[in-house]
Amino acid sequence: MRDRKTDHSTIIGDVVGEPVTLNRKGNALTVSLRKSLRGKLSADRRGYGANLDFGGVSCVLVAPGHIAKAEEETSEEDTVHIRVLRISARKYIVELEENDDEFDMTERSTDNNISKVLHAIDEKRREGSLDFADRDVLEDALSRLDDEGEGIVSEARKRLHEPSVK
Amino acid sequence: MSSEWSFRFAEKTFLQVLEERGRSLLQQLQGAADNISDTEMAVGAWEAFDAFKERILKHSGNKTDPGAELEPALESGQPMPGCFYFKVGGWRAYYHLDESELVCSGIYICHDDDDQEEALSIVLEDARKTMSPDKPRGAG
Repeated sequence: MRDRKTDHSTIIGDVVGEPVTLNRKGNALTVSLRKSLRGKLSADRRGYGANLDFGGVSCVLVAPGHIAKAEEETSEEDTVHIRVLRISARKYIVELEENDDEFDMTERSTDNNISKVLHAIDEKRREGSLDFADRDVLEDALSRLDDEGEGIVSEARKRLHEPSVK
Repeated sequence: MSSEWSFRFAEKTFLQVLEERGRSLLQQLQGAADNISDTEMAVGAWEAFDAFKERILKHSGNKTDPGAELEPALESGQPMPGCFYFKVGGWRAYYHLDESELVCSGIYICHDDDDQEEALSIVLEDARKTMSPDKPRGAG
């Protein structure tokens, strides 16, 4: 276990973490962000925040928001959205969606009938009435398919390269 | 408890489907015989399936973080709890991740062109059989 006096950084990995000082201001908490950390966030513009709660460990996401302006002044920034999806108690996905109006959710959304199938399967899984096999059985199944397909696929590929075949 | 994930695969809706669909594609290849256009299509379909099963095999080797390779399955824009998938060509493999037990369960395989209503009726029929009084819960 770590010494409580040592640094308890919660940001490790691809995103560079930097020290941030938190100050109490009445009932609010203020944060001073160094230039390297604030990126293009500006005090002149409205921002929005979201608390990404990892079961008691808070991580606050701050993103620029919209400013009401004339239609002709709409900038590219107004057509992008930062979508945050909580996919489990310990995992979020944060991603940029450009031009939300045109974003095709059908590619991401599960087909209605597939979700019904998944719910039915999941119910069986929770009841313990779904039979499972381990990775060895998967490997055997794939190996069998490869063996069965080897000759058939190479024959078919050969046929494709024979000029006489019509 | 081990910090490595373990993998398991639903016999009927994952493994059996994988084998049946593979064999069906091989039959298409044989059936295409001397028709060049049919052969081209059948070879293309097999290659897409081959890439899909390679991905399944590779994913099942990621014992440190299998969820990192998966997208959340969304239902009306919201994630279905514990349900994830990856897509290779028109093929999709769905998994359930149990983060507390570190178990990744392959639960369902399908193709974009599949008739999901038929798949649903098969799964529900199977569920009814499992739940019938003749067969106790949890039995094969």
